[in-house]
Amino acid sequence: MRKFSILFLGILMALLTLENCKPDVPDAPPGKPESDSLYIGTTYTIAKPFRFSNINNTYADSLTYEGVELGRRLFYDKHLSSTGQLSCASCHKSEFAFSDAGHAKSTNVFGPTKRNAPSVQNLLWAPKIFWDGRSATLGEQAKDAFHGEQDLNVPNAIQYLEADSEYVRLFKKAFGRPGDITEEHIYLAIQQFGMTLISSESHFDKVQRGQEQFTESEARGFQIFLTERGDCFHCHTHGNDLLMTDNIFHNNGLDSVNDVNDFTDKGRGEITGDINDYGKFKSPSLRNVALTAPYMHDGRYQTLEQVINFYSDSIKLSPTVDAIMLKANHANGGVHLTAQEKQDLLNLLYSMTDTSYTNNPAFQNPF
Amino acid sequence: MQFLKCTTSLVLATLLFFISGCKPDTKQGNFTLELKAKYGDQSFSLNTPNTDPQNRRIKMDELKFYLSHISLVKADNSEVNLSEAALIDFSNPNTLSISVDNISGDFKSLRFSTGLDSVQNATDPLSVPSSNPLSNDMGMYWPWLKYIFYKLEARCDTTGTGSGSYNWFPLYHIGTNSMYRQVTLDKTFSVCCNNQYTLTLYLDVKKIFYGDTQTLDIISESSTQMGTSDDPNVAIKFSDNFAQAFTF
Repeated sequence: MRKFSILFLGILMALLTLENCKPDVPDAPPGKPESDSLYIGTTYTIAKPFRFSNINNTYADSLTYEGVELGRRLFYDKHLSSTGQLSCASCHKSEFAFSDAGHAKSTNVFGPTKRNAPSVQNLLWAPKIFWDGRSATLGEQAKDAFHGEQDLNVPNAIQYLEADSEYVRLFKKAFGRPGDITEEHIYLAIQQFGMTLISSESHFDKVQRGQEQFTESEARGFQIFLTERGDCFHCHTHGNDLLMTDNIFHNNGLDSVNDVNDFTDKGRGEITGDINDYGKFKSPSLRNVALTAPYMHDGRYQTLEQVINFYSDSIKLSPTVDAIMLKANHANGGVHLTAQEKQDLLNLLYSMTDTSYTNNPAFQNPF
Repeated sequence: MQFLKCTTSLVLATLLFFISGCKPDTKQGNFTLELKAKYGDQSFSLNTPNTDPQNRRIKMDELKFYLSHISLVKADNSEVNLSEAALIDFSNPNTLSISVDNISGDFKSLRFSTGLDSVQNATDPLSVPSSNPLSNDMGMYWPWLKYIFYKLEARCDTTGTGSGSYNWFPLYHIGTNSMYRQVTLDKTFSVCCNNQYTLTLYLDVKKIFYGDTQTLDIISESSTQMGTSDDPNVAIKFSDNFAQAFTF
């Protein structure tokens, strides 16, 4: 019996010792004797807002607070541009729902671009990103923007980041071992930050949740929006969710063009090469739209009033113009809203402003 | 040596036993329903013009609809279910065939419904996975009127010259429970014996406009969004013609 007890104790001790020996993370790279906890980030779980789709992106599973914080720093860090003058935030300013505050066309390190910097929110639910949808993920988008707008020099950037102890710490926490600072990890960190940019606390949202009431004018505006009277819903709703965009590409009748090759900007067609996509752009979300002037892919309209007037009265024909745009009275330019209806619609759009989003301290410049 | 022979025989016998046990039922076969579209005697594809009986050119940007309760009816009236709900989208070839394996029998007809039944139509599209045909991501739902059963968006050159510009844009987005239709099409065939049987079902797009009993005029009846909005008669006419536009 005693023999058995000793044997049992021996096995138990061996097991305990083995358990203690088991590393909870892989071995440290040679020459980097940091303790293991340096390589473990804190899991960040995204809460799905009311009437948003389930989060299908598998990369949402690997989110950490440190990865998100790292992404925020990279988003605001001008050192990553070739000129040292521009960061992502230069054209995506938080107080304007991450749009470019009054600039019709944004300017990158190479000079003026051909498009308006879109606002940023709820891109976790966007299957395609950019006006022309050329990126499928926020990480791809970050790579495109770092090279296309900021002229990222990868070796220089990595050298800069490796010399900064806070960046070194965050990269390790965000990406574990090997926690090396790599080009890919830069994009993935931006992706993590981008996924947390969620706007769902506007007056409009609270009305949908039954917590607040529309004013009479907003309620009339919502009816105009949701019916063929205004016919806004085709492109600015998405099934039963509250993204306020269908995330699809349309030619909304901005320009009168006889031949598809005459579009100044071919938009989606540039990516697909399909002439049926020429002149089409992704429907932007109407969330925070009152903060994101000027409007359209080329920033041609300065005010929301101009935008409403365009949709009401000035739709133009072209070979790829969406049939939806032409449904109502297309021979005469649009649905022709009255002045009161235009005001009601404007009030509805203002109800979608979410200042808790634009003022969120977690989204501001950390430097 | 004798021992080896015996062992080999035993192993072979055991193997044969298992192999024969795994052998599929030879009476069963596989079935595929394949969806195609045509325009009368003309071929059809999206964004490609067809010529209508009034010499107008018409081409479709979008042709997308629900079929539900698709089943094969046996000679004894029992049914083999193929799909509870399928979203057919002519811009996505993956949606144009429905297969079911290991079925058998002598069949006399194909039965299906166009649109969704009232229970399906009451689904919250945010409650089902994104791969489900009823998902929010399919672009077939409006919160105030539920699912869009049939979506057809077209461009027409009404000049009759065959070379004018596309100047007319019929648009049909139709839903609501009363637009649900049931269809039974007779076809005698057998599935059995490890064979693959493919049945091709054609949607004759011309018949949506030039139906067996009524014409949907693309000029005066060029658009409707839902059964309860615009002119409900256009939605009813479209739904009736649509259900009668299927043929083998």
